[in-house]
Amino acid sequence: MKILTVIKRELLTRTRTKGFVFFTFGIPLLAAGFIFLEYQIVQASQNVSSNIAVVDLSQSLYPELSQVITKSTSQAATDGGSRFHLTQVESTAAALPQTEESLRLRVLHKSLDGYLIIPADVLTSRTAQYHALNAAAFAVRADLSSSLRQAVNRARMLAAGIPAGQLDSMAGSFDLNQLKVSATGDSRDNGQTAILAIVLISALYLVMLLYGVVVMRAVTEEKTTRISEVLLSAVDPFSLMLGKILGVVATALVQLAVWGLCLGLFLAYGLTMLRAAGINWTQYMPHDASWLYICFLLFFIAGFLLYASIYAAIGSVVSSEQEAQQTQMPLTIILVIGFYLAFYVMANPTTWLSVVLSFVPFFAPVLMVTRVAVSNPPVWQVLASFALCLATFFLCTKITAKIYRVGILMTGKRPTLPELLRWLKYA
Amino acid sequence: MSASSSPAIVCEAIHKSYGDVRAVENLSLTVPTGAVYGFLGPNGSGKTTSIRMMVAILLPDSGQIHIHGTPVGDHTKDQIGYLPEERGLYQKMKVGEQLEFLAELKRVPKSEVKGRVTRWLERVELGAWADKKVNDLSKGMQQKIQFIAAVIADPPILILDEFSSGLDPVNANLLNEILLEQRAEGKTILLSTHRMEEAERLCDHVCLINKGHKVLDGRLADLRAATGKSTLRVDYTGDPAILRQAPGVASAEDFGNYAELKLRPDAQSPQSVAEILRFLAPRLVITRFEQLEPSLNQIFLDTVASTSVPASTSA
Repeated sequence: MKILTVIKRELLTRTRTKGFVFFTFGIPLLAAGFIFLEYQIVQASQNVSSNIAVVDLSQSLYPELSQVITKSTSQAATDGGSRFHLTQVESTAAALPQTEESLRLRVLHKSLDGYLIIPADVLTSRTAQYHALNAAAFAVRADLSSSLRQAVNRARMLAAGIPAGQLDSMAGSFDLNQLKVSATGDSRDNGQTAILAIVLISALYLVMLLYGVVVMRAVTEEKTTRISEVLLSAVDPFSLMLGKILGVVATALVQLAVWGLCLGLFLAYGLTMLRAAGINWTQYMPHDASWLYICFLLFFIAGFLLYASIYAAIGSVVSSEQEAQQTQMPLTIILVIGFYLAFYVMANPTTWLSVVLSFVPFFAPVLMVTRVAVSNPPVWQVLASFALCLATFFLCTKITAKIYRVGILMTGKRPTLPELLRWLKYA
Repeated sequence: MSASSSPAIVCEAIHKSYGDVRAVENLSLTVPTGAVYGFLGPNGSGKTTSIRMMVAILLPDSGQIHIHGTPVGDHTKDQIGYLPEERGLYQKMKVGEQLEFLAELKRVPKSEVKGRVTRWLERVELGAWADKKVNDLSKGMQQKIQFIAAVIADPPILILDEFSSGLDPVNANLLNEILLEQRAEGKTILLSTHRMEEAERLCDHVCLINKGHKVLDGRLADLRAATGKSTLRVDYTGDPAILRQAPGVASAEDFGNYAELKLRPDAQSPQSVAEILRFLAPRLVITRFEQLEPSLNQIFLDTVASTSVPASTSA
């Protein structure tokens, strides 16, 4: 079949360029490089601890503070918190200015990272002052503030008469488990499916934008190099259009497959490392996501085909790169609108608005996938929306073929919409 | 592959308009199988539009076109090898690969594709360029590649639009040879050109089209015989104005080094011609003096001038 010849040419010509190979393998390498760099930076900062001098005018907080900080510093290895090394400096309220002055000098000479002034009434006022060279160390400030808060609470509870041994059980964090309701039983889901959804729809957008423009450029190129006339004398416009779009889709899939493989290898490596360190990672992965993956694949292909056919129509109508950039604006805007709608749908997946929007062919790929990720829409709805997308794609390709047939022979200014409609009658 | 009983191409009363502009109006023509058919006309006369309809790139507003008896459509495309006037190739693709692609599109069997590409590249003396990108080739070389693309599937009909434009004499000659070979194999060739000398050399049928209408159609030999030996070709040096003063000369077309004089119908006998020579000889330096049938160029100019086609405005 002639359409296979067209697809084959598109695929081979695109994948055998240096640009493609470079981009396809370069991105994962770049990503890996960044992650490695990040890791090294984190490792380096792990061994840094802040030297802080504490002036406790209340004469009662320091023991508790010291205890809290010791505990959090030893946990810093696993939860990534800040490490502190405290030294107490004695002072009276009267001698405070001189004490501060000497501490200031030590900070300026970098023998101290900072100093903490705890006022006498700290248990009621709940304030303190932290002086440091680096005012931008947000993590340090946050961790210090949190430790002080815990220390003050403990001191007050002790003063209220609660025995020291019960202090730990009085306060603690709370673990809210989230479970996703579904027909097959409820599964643990702490929002990872939503995150997965965001990752998937972002991938959808990236690829559709990137490759949609590729299709458009390819069509314009054929028009301006005038090869389209020879092509049309050999094959019908519908097969030509469809073949072109499918060829570009195939190229995109090859690229995604390579990236997916790299990601898979990377995850496998990283997760084996985590397992070796004794961390149970399975609780972080989404469960029962196979239906989501299937939906993603289906709608990815349907959405891509749909947008690609419209980009192809734009390509056949314009005569230059510049015109192409201008004309594709409305389409890009539709894509972006869909992206923002996704956030609404994520928060309200079952409202009638969300349901209706997930059937609109331009938004369906993204919105339906979002709905599947965060709720459980009936299977018939998913399949119906998918079918609608495909039908719209076929319709668009037919129209694009007609536009292409007339458009490639015409150069000059871009046709207006009424002119365009007349073209459809010529073909 | 070709039904030799029906003519290669038959157009019946085809019309094509773009909005208010009537590009082709009521055009009927028949291209016999095996003919070299010249499709002639000035720029903007509707030639390219007509050809595009024969190759099913455009659809006529009304009328019918048949290729070897079959109504034109996507299924008749394989029978025609087309070289469009607007040249085009994928610039960044390799020459050999591109020809293989175009051959496959025209259903050349996979087993034969590579062989044919190699043979044709050798034939047009571009054998060494098979692995080069198209934009490494000069314009003339690219034109030869496009020519190969039209012939490589061995179609029974070739439609070539200005096939020699921009080619130097050596390459134009090469393609001429190939055309004659094709014709000897029984192929039908439709040449669209506005170079009358070329048409005169190659064609046995001609069709003249002007402003969307057919103005002349027939075997070249018949057309020229019909007008008789009404032209005098004079190679001369001197004042061109004198030419028109000779007795019996209706009009004179001056080409610089020579002129074609149109004789009045009553001035075509040998005696009248001798009188003209006696008039001109003392006044000009003449190196050639010949009575002929009119050139195609002359026939064309006469026909265009005499057929006053009304301006195309919508009724």
